[in-house]
Parts: sequence; C-alpha cells; structure tokens
Amino acid sequence: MAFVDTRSLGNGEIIEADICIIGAGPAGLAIAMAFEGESTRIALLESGDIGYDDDTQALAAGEVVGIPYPDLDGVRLRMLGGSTNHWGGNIRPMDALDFEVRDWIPHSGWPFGLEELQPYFERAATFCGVPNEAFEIESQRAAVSADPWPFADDAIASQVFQTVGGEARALGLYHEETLEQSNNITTYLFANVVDIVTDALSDEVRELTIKTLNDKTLTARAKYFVLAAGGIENPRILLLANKTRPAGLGNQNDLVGRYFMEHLTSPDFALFFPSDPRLDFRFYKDFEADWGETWGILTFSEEVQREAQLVNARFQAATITNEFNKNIANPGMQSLATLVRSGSSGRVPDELERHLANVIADIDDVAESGYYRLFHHPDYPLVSIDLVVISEQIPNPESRVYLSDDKDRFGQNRCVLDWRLTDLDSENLTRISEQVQRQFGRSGLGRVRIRLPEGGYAQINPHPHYHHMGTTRMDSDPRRGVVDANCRLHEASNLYVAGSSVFPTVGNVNPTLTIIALAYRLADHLKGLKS
Amino acid sequence: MTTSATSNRRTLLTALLALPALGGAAAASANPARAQLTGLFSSRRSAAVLGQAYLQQRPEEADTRKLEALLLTPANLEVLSPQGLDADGGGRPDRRRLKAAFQEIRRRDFDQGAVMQIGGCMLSVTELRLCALTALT
Repeated sequence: MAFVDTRSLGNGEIIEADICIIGAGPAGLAIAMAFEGESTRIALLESGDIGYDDDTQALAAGEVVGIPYPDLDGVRLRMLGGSTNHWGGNIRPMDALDFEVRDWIPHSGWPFGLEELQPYFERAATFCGVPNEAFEIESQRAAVSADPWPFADDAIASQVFQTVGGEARALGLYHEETLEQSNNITTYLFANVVDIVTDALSDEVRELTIKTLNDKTLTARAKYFVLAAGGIENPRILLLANKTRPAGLGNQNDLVGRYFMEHLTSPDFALFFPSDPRLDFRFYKDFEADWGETWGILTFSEEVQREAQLVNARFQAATITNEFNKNIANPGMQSLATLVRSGSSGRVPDELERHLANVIADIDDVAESGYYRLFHHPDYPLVSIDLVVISEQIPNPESRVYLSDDKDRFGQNRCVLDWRLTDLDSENLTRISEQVQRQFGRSGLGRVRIRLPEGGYAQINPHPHYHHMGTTRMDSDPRRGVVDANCRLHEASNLYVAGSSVFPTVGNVNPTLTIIALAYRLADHLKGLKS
Repeated sequence: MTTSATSNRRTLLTALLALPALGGAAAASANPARAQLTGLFSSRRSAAVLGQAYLQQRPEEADTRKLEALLLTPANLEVLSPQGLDADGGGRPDRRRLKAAFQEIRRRDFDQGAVMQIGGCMLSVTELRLCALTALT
C-alpha cells in the first residue's frame, strides 16, 4: 500500500478501490484518514509529489480576468497536502447565522444548520491538533490574563481564533507516516485525473482516466468517487468531463464554476483610536499556545447583522502605533510600552488624525489617567490600532471559473478565473464601516476612522486570501446547486465533491476547518452507504 | 431627580434665557456652563479644528447662542445638571463626572444616529457642537 509513483506503473494499468479520492489536499486527506485502519480500500490520487514538483505545478497555470488576482499556479499547490503547504493555519468554526437563509443576501442558506456540522467541527479541530476549548472566551481570557474590550452591550462580540502550529499545518507531511504505513489507503503520486468517465444513459461514474507526465494513461475504478481538488480545479475537472455531457458533468443547469467567492479584506481600511491610550489589547494580540497561536477578533452580533442587513465580517487588531513610547517614565507602564512597541508600525499620523485623537481622548477620558504626567507630553498620546476587516463575499453567479482555450501539456483546457464583486458588496462595506464606527463610538472605547481611497468603496481592491469557494455550490434543489446536502453530485449517483467549492456562503472565517469538518461528515455518509 | 439637581437645572435655564441679551464676547465670559463644557478639552486647538470642520458642513450653526441652545437642550440638561453643570458660576463641577455624563449624551447620539463624519471618523453631533463652540469662542 503506502505511496505509489504512478509514473512507474504500466501504461493502461487499472487501479481498483472501494473509494477513489481525487486530490490529497485537506479534504481528500481527511476523508482518507477517516477510513484508515478499516477494510475499505481507498485510492488517494494526488497530481503531485510528496514535495514540490515544478512540472506538476505548471499544470495549475490559468488565466485571470476580472478583479486582479495572483497567478493561478501560485495560489494553490499540487502536492501532498495541497494548499495547506502554504496555509496560514487560521481556524475557527463558522457562526450559526452563516448557515441560514438571510433574505438580505442573495443565494444564501445551507441545506443544514450549524448543529449538523458542530460535531464535525470538533473532530476537525482535533485533526489539526487544537483543543476545542481553545475557542472559548474564558480559555483565552485565562491564558492571556486579559479581558475582551468592554463594549456597551453585545452588539459587538469578541471571539477567539486559533492558528495551527507549523508542524501540523502542512497536513500532507503531518500525516505522511500514517499514510506510509496504512494497509488500506494507497496514495498514488503523480496521478493526474484528466477525465471522469460516465455513460450517456447512466448517472453513474464508471471510471477515471489518469495521465502521468511520462505519458502513461491509466484507469481508476471504484464504487464511489470523491472530487477533492480545490475550488478552482473541482469545476475545471467537471467541465472537462464533457464527452457524454457536452456542458460538463453536473452542469445541466449551468452552475458549475459559478459563484466563485473569496474573503474580502481591505488593508489599511480602519484605524481605531482608543479613548484611553492604556486600553489593554492583549486579548486581541497573538498569544503562543501549545498547539500554535491564539488571538481574539471582533464580530457583529446576529442581531446587528440582521437589523443592519450586513454580511458577516470580522475585525482583527493589526499594527499598533504609539509615538510616545520613548517618553514613558513610569516603570509601571514599561510592559505596556514594550507590548506596544512590538506591534508599532512606525506610521506617521496626519494632522487631522492628531486632532481627532486629542478630542476623542479628551472627551472620553475614561480614566483621567495622569497620562500627561507619565508621558511628559503636552498633547494626549496618539495611540492607534489598525483594524483589518475580513468579510464574506456575497454569492454572485457572474463571478466564475470557466474553461480557457489554452491547453495544458495533456491537451486539457486550462481555466479562467473571472472574479467579480457586485454593488451589494460595496454597499455592505459601507454599512460595515458605519456600524463599526457607531458601535465603538457608543461604547466610549474610542473611535474608528475609515480610510477610503479616492472614489470610495467601489475603488477598494480586495486583498486575496487564496480562498477559492462556491464553485460547485451545495443546495438540495438541482436548479440551485451542483451537489446535494450530502455533497453528492445531483447528476451522478456515485460522485461526491469535497472542499470549499461546495460552500453556498462562506462566513468570515478561514475555510480550512469547515473543509475538514465537511470531509469528516462526507466520510461518515460514505461509511453509512457501505454498511 | 434630586432637589439640588432641580435647582441647578432651574438656574441653568434662567441663565440660558438671558443669553440672547448678551453680546457674543460678553456671553463667552459670562456663561459658566459654556466654560465648564468647553473646558473638558485639554487641547482647545484640536477641538477648534474639528469645530471648524463641523461648521463648514453646517454653517447655519456658526453662532454661539444657537450652539448653546442646541447643546443645552432640556434632554441634555437632564443628564448634565445632576453632575454639577452650573450656569450661575457658584459651583465647581467635578470634571470627571461631567465627562461621564457627556459620554451618556454621546452614546444617545450614536444610538439615535445624531452623528457626522469628520475626516472619515464618526463623531457625535453634541461633541461636534461643543467643538464648534470652542472654535467660535
């Protein structure tokens, strides 16, 4: 079992298994690992090697139109562990509201609620080596000996994010030894799936066609197939499976590749001036934990999201500027100064910023702190914190992945990424900025200054996260989704799709934990079918 | 409301009623409530800069008497007077309590949408009026 270099197999050879998984990224790995030690024979087909391979990676190239995006052969990785090999490791379960139909967000709603996925989120966190209690506010509070900021009410809530440690982050390497020793999982390296073969009159996938870079063609047969090649490659492979279905497999309603979503981030978007420059922000700073790092974030409550008709967004404290560090005379303030200095951006505030900070701090002045005495400075100290805003994108059928006329070395059409936002995304950013200013203002904690480019919100270029989502969306109705609630292709009885391409909406959290949770859920479903 | 607060409020309202009879410069020195409120700023220059920005957007309020009337509304006095805001100059309010009371008014402004954007920052109209008063005096 273990690892097989597909290039070394005979031309025309047939791989047989009970379940054949296309792609050994986080989704494919989690499904395979869920069967480890059982009698089910798993064939895990990976396009790349255990490590990086230039020739294989070149297969990921594609064309970008629409919103500027980095080269497609740089934003995903074709190797064991897939794109977790450049993963930042940030995880948190999605929120309950993310799963609901929200009438202010077109095409929103999952076929099930958070309660369905909750146990799988817990297993997914364990898979990443993170204890579930780490997501609790009380754990963070105790660990950093600091409280979340005291807002006026629960309109803004603090939550806790986790960053998986470096060793566990490259999931392929993390599980390499288990895969190597497995008796029922065979990992085929350098195995590029170029076709999903179906009969014209049947809804069953018969087999997969595999090609290698040394020009061999093989076949993989199984009872069930799982497509887990990522949010760009999943639709590409389905669209290329067009011999008996000219529009592509699963594309009877022209949905495959549509609804491409990214998380939207606007760097340097918001600046928070605390009214008390001694405001303790440790809860929101990175804190080293046994499994990696942990840090607090801010989100709007469900009630605020509903009332203000907002997408789900989170705010992270990024760089902190304090131009008065050097003047700190009081030893009691030294630890704060050190903390502040460590995150100092060295940004030069503009004149208006200084006046704003002076007035905000003066009027609020929650603790008549004796700051002047401590800092020996005529002005109020200017402390500011960059707030990074990360929000979900509104599902948009015109934002899509489709086939290019360019071909790769197998003669397969490459893909085109046409990422698009709508006016509703810009309007939401406006509403988010108004809400965050309002909530900070009413709390007395300070004020948030929004920094917009000339031309306003529509001119903001979102910063890509390499989160590719929504392109084979899940919906119980085949007219609205490519896969059903079990992630099975509506159009094929034995083909399932795993990964963030099935997300109907994406919440404000990084997708990997949800990808793994859905993978575990799919594995349980497949076990149920087998039994 | 306490007897003392009622008395303060009555005194303040009396002083306010007298305001239109006063000239601008005279009113600045003669109105202790104004002095107490604008005195909440340690940097009057910064307050004045924001006040000028506010008045550019609302030039019709560039009048000290009008601003005082808009600031010292009965609703605001309900909050400020018990904390020692004093129009007759006889008392010396606790600056910290006055600031805390002002925070209540500002929170109400944010809740009611009585806010304005200055330089990308959302500020309460009441605090901007106070800035404007500082700019004019």
